[in-house]
Amino acid sequence: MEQDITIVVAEDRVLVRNLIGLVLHREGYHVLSAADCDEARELCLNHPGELKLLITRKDLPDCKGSDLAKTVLRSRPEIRAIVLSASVAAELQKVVHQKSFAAATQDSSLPLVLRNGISRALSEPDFPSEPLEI
Amino acid sequence: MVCVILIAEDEVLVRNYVRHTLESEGHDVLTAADGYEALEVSRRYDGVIDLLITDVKMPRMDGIALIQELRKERPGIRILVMSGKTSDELRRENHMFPFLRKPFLPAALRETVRRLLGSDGQ
Repeated sequence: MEQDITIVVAEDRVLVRNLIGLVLHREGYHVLSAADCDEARELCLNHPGELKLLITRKDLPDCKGSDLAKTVLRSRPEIRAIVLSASVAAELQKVVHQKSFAAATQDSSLPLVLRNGISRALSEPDFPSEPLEI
Repeated sequence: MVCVILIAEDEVLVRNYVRHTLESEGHDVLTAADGYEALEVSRRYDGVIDLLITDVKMPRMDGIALIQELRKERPGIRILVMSGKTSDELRRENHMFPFLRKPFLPAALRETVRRLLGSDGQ
């Protein structure tokens, strides 16, 4: 289990936010979720422990995901950041709308590219210090 | 017993505090930033949701309107209201729900949730 690893998910679409959150929680991660950039900044500013990873959508309604990631990185240089491109965001949207939402949260149905990105961010010592768009 | 709990709370720090406390108990937690989002999650989540924990004052759709809608759609759902108001204030407004006054400690939340999940609903 990975309960000592905390991941922040910034995603305005509530179903996608919950899909990512539930799947990662079931895999043992501690997930903090934010519905927009303001919430994500507030979470990152106030969380007392270490944050390992920020996952954000490229085009959030109130800011660009890459700008959010850069802001967070300034105050938490240790965090790694993944920015979901429009195609990954669309893939996630498809998952939550094409099948039973309860089932989607059960069967670890995150896109492979996101899974690989998370795995790289949490394990590679030379993961880019800049936000990585996938 | 692993239960599915839906949290509706517009304060991001409170929402994640409640979420973390209940996930640590082993529950699956769905979250929403207001009543409107909570309804969307409930309508798309085609499994049992054992408990709704909701704030009262939220943008777009408040907690009381959410409870009224959700009880029509999920008659067996248990309800817990969390608010900065006192239980007397809520009672005066005719809101008679199990209630936790903010701020609260994790132990108080855990105990209240255990009690509610052990009951037959309302």
